[in-house]
Amino acid sequence: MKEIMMPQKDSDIISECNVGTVENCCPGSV
Amino acid sequence: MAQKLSASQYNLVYREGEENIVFNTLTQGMMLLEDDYVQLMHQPEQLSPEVRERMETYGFIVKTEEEEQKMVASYQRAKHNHRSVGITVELTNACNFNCKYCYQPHEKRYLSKDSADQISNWIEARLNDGVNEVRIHWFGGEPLLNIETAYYLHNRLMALKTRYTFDYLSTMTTNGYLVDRYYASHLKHMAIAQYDITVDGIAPHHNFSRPLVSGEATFDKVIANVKHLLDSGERVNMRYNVNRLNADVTPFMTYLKEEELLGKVRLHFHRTTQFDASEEVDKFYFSTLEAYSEALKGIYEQMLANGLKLPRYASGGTNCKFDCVQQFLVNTDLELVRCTSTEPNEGSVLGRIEQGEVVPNQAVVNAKIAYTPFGKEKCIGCKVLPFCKGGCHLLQQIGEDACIPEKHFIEAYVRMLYKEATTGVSVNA
Repeated sequence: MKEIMMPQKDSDIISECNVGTVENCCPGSV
Repeated sequence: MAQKLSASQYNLVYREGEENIVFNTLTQGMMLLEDDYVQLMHQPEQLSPEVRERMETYGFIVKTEEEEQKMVASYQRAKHNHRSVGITVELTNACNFNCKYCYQPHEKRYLSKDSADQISNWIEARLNDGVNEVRIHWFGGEPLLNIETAYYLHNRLMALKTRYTFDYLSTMTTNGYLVDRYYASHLKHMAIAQYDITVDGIAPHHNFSRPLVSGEATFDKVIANVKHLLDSGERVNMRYNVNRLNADVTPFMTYLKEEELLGKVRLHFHRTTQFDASEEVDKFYFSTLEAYSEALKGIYEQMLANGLKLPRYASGGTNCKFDCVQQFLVNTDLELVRCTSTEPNEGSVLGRIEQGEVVPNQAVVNAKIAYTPFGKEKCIGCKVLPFCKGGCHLLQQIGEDACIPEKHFIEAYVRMLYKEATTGVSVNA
């Protein structure tokens, strides 16, 4: 049993919501 | 009564030598596990308390009813975060470029300083409502064609900071061509945390899809300006719109390495979409998601081979920031539009700023609030639902598929993440 990647933290994710991440299904190309 | 534990529906298990890579798409935790442990994930009561606790931390075993609830709760928490407001400011819809795929009509409208005052007044009203975080994204058209108004609004917001306590962050999407003209006089004073600049590959590819309105090439000047920003200590996110001509990114990676840019810029690869306003170009756009997925898989392999960190999805929150209730694009007419990927129309305009207050289009606002991406029939049982979170409201409104490319090469993607984690050589700004 070997830990490879730590789980993401929910608190990190909420702030991500506000800094302009673009998801891979967003249609807009600029 | 304690809830029953079971294996997560978002576990992915792939053979790796004598062991197994176990990756959970909801937590994005990964372990290498022996066969016995993989089997015992389905009988968690037989695990030792220590191992069970680790597996719960990684999300491999879960309280069955809670797993779905956690994802929905995280989505709702981000969506209804009323303490944060995010405004994408369309400074103009004019542009000095004539990109093949552009979806915007360039009618040469400019946000006026009076309108900037109204935006500032509206933000002040929101600060009085308890907002403590303001995010501004400068956008166009080409925002540098109206940099004076951006600078004016920035200074208005900084004046608010002397009277209110709030966290402020701004970013900008620019084609990069005019950065040298305005950096010293304006940009460096505007505390822009990240510049999003599109470079569609090496010079022939970029100049083909992103020429000036006059038809002249733009590559050399954009690259020079990217270097100028980096040398000034700024952060650059290089967007690369992938089409069928530039999908092999090998020459671009070589170029970045030669120019000592690799690892200094963030790279973001994005599918080039053909819109009504886009130019018809032969053998340019990907016709299917599957075809694009194949190309993206090759790009990720190139990233890994060049020691770059692979893109990761946020494993909570909303699919897109524009699904958050307090996120808008404000256009030059002071309309609040749902996002940057849609033109203002009866389904996308959430309201209008008048005298520093929003007059809402209540039906559109209600539709945005009511939208939930979960529970769609086609998503039931899909392992990558925590990545795409069911897609955004826009795609649902226009009836487009919201599936993500990684769905079509998820095993290869997980194996690449494993390789990245275990070789530990990744760099990316």
